[in-house]
Amino acid sequence: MKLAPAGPAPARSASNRTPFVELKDLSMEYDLTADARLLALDRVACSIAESEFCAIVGPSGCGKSTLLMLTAGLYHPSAGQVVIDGRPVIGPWDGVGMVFQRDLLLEWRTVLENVLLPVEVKRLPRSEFEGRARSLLRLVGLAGFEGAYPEQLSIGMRQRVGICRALVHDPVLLLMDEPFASVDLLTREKLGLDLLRLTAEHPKTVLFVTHSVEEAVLLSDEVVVLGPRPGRILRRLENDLPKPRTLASRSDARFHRLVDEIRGAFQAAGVLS
Amino acid sequence: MRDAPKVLEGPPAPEAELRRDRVHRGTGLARGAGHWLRRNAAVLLVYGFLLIAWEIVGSLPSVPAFILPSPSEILHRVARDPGKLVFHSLVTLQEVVLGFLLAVLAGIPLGVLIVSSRFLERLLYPLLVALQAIPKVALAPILVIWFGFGPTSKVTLAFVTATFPIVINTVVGMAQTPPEMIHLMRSLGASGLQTFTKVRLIAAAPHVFGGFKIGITLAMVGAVVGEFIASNSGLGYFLLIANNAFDAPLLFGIVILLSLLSIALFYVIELLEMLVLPRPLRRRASGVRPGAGV
Repeated sequence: MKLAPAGPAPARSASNRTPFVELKDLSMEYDLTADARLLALDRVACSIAESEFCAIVGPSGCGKSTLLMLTAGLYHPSAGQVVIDGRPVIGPWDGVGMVFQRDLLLEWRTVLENVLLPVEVKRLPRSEFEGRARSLLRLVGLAGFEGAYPEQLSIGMRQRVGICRALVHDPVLLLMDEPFASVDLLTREKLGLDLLRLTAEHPKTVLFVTHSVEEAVLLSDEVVVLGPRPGRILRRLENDLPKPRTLASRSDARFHRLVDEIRGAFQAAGVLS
Repeated sequence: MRDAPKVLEGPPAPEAELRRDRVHRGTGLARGAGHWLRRNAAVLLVYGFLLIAWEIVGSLPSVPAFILPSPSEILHRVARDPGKLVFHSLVTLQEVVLGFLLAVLAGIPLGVLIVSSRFLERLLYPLLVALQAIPKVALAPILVIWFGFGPTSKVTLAFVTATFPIVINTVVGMAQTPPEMIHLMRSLGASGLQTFTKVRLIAAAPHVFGGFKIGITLAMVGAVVGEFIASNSGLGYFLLIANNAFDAPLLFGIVILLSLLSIALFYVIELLEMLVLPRPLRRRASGVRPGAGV
C-alpha cells in the first residue's frame, strides 16, 4: 500500500511551478453512527509546488487534520484523490514525515534513538543515518543532548526532537499538524523560525496546519484558508513576506496586510477570529 | 513521590546530568545500606514498637495464648518443626509460581487480543468479568472434581485468580499509546507487528508489571483457598491442621509465613521490573526506587 504504481520512477519536478501535491476535489465523510454522518471536508482542491511551505489555517473542526491524514494515505477519502508527483495516493507511502501537536517521543528511548525511529522502522542502514540525525539535532540546538531522555527536556526541546525525527529519513513531504500548539508563544515563534532554517537546509515540501493566522503568515510561502465545517477552501494567498524571515518580519507592513486579509476571509465566512 | 522531570533549558549541560545520575546509582553497597537504614529508621522504629506492644499484650495473664499468642511464643512454636513448614511452603510456592506463570502466559495475549479487536473485546470481556465475579472459593470444589486433590487444582485456582488483573492491566497499558503515535508509525510504513513491539508493548510494560504485582499476591490467595478446600499438603492444609489442633501459635506462625512469602514474591516481581524496564519507564512505574530520596 503505497502510491499507485507508476511506470518509471518519477523524477522530481524540475520547475518549481509544477504541482507536487495535488488535492483533487477531496471530500471526507465520517460515519458517526449508523445514520449520522459528518462531512469534514467538502471538495477541497488545491496544489502545492515542490519545496513550497504551505500553511493551512482554519477554525477548529474544519478538517485540517483530516487533510493531512488523507495526504499521508492514512485515511481514504470519500471522494476525490490525493496525487503526489503525478501518482495517486492509495495508502501510506514512503517519503512522508509527520509531526503532531503532541511530540509523541518514546520515553524509553534517548533523544538520538527517538530521532532514528523511522530509520529503524524502514530498516535503513543506521550507520548512514546516524550522522544525519546528529546533524539535524545540531541544527535545532540540541547538540549534546543525544543521550538524554525525553523527560529531561522541556516541551519546546521535545518538539524539536520530534521535528528531527520527521526529517531523518529525508522525506519529500513534511506534514505538520499544529506542531507548536502546546508551546508557549515566545518559544513557538523560535521553533517556527528553527523549522524554516531546517527546511532551508533540507528543502522539503511542507503542509503546515495551524489555527494561528500569525504563525501561518510568518512561516509560509502560501496560505490556504479553510472555512468552518464542512471544510472548504475560502481563499489562497501567496505570501510575499520577504525572506529570510526573522522575528522582525512581524513588524513588516506586508505581514499585517496578510494577517488582515486572512482575518477578513474568516469574517466574511462568519468565523469570529 | 516520583521525581519531577528535570527540565534543562538554556545551554546544554548533559554531562552534569549524566554525572549526577552516576553518583546516584553507583554508591557502594555498604554506603547504600547506611542510606537505607537512615531513610527507613522511622519505619523500623514503628514496627519495633508494635512488635514490643504485641509481646507485652500477648504475655498478659488475662490474654489466653489461644486468643493472642505473643511473638516469642510463635517463634518458639515455629522453630520446633521448621522441616514441616519448609515442606508445606515449598508446595504452596510451587503452586503459586506455576499458577502465576500460566496467568502471565494467558493474560498478556488475552489483553492484546481484547485491545486489537472490537469483536474479541465484546466476546471476551464479559466472560472475564463474570469469571472474576465468581468467588474463587465457589470454584474450588469444581476444580477439585476436575483435577483431583493434588497440586493441579490449586495451580488452576491460582491461575484463574491471577489472570484477571494481568489482562486488565495489559489492556490499560496497551491503550497508553496515543492514536497519533499509531498514525505516525503507519505513515512510516510500520507493520502492525513493528508498532506492537517497538511502541505499544513497551509503553504498556509498566502497567503490565503492575498487573503482575497484583496477580502474584492473588495467586497466593487462590492457591491457599484451594488447599483449604481439599488437599494433603501446602500451607493452607497445614493451617487447617493447626486450627483443628487449637495450636494458636502455629496458626499465627503460618499466617505470618504466608504474608512473608507474598511480600517476597511481590518484591521478586519488583526486582524483575527494575531489571527489565528501560530507565525512564522504571521511574514512572514504581514510586519507591532504591536510592531515591523520599
